[in-house]
Amino acid sequence: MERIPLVLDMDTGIDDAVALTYALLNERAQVLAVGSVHGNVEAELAAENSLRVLELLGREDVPVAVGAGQPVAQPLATARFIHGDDGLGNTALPPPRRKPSSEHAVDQLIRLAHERPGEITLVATGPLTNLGLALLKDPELPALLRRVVIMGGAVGCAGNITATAEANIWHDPEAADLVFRAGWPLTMVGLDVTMTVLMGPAQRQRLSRLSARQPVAGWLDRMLDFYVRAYESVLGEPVCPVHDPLAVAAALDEGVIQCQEWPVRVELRGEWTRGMTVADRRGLAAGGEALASLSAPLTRVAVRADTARFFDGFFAALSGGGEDREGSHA
Amino acid sequence: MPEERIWFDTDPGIDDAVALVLAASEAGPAVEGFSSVAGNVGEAQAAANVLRVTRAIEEALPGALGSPRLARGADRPLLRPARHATHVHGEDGLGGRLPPLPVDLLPKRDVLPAYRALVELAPPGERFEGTLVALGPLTNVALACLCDRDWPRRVRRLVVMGGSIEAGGNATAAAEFNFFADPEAARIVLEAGFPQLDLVPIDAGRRLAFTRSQWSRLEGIATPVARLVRELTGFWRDRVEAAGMVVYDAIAWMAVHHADLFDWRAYHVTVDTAGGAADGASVADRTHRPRPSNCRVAVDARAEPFWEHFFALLKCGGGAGTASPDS
Repeated sequence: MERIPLVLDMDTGIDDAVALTYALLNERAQVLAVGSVHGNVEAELAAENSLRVLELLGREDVPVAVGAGQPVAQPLATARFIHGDDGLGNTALPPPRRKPSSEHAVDQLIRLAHERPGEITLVATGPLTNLGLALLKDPELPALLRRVVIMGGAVGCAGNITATAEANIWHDPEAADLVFRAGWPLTMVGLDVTMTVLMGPAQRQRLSRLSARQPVAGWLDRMLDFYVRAYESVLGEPVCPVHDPLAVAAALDEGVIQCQEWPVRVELRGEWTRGMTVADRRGLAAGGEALASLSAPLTRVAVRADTARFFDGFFAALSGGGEDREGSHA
Repeated sequence: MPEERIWFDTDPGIDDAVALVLAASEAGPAVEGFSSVAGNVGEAQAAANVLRVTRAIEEALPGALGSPRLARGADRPLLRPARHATHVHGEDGLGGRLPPLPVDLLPKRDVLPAYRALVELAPPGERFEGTLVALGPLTNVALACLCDRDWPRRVRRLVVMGGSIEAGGNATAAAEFNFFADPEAARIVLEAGFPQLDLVPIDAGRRLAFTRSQWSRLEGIATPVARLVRELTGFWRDRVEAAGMVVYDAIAWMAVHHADLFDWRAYHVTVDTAGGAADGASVADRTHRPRPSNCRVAVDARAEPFWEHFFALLKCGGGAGTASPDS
């Protein structure tokens, strides 16, 4: 199977760490490099956490570059209450032996895109500051990437950090708007789908069963324990969404999500709507009765996710390629 | 059904007109009056259209409406330039489907300003024990709120067609037309403290497109009111054939007496007036710790019983206020 070359941009965070683990163990993926960005935690800690995950999986060949430490036009805000003081659910992994590379995450992305034009799929699971800066720095970038998949935004559902905004977009709306306007092949995996793919007790049991032969599964389970407790107070049951892993899955297997193509812009000025992803869902091609159209290229917006297919892929990767048949129908 | 006072604030509009026909069929004499507002068309055209529609109703259902008053209202939004929807409703707002109004029949603007008529529905010390039904931009209603800050608390019930919670906009990507046309007014009204504000947004119409199948049913009803609705919606015939049209204002009217056809959620809703792409968007607070609700929102509707009621009204329109679905 030909592997899909991935560059990951992450604010590593619990679900980012799960997503990175999933990408590293997925036989369809070839992780070329990881960039870090502010968001769940500071950019430096995000890079450290990515290095920790890579060491845990013996992948010290994958470079990690520190990226933007703050949003373009607003103060830094992090989310330790969701991700723990270490950003990894207080699982106390040892400090990484490696240091991040000396290159900036923005330059790492631009360099790799030029080295392998048309090949790379970029998956961004944090605020989009690095992507926005890369677009400003290198106008050729959109033409050099095969695909861009972001976890972020909310179209037909409420936000999770304000009534209207999803957290990754809200953390840097200006950068996000650049990403939606760039005209590259962009897929948005937002709350419309990520809040429908919930990891609950059944999946947690699969994880702990796996931990006998895949020690990393045990660590994921401990980390998710913290995450589930943070979400339980909101969702009312012991489950958590797996936002970032779903974006990785969508990058590797398009069948995991169904998309609609809409122009999307990010609201920048609104009192209640700053950071809201505004999609023009009016079907202008069919009816054409707009008073004001939204000027933006089309984004593939994920509107439905195949939960069973996601978890089958996820546990297949964790169990080392072989389908976890017993568990998949648990 | 107990007769209650009804006042319409409206900018007809084909779907406003359908709402008025349904109201005449169901609650005729209770309709106390109308105020006109700039929206789908300019205010003067809206005022003329109210009279064009009530005259057509008088022909179809003689005596049904009693003798409602017409108060003329705002001819532009509070802060925004006027935006109309003649691309949806035709240049005259009614798709050219009803005879024009002789000019001298239109009341002068200064006889009874709409905001004054609205406040006088519930003057200080009295309550409006009825329903104010707002089918256009909320400019008049907002002016009444500003004119007498206690007035909203004296209005038993306000039903508003406007906004969108999850369905996206129709005037812009994010904003529904009535809120888009006067977002400041919508915000003032939502935050004014009405004891019962029922919001009927775009979401309520998601399952209620008027399609070919509704058209066929309409053609099978021989009453003069059904003919009138056919005449009005005829302007949309091509669109009905293509994807269906949603008669939002008629849906809002149905919520007045048939709230059980809808799923309601209590939300704090406001309107973003400082926005860019989301300017005029209604924002329902669905966060983990929401602000106290200021309205209940019709987030969905049951299509089958809805159309049963809708067509029942047109079948026995003639003042039989108790139209039942199986009649």
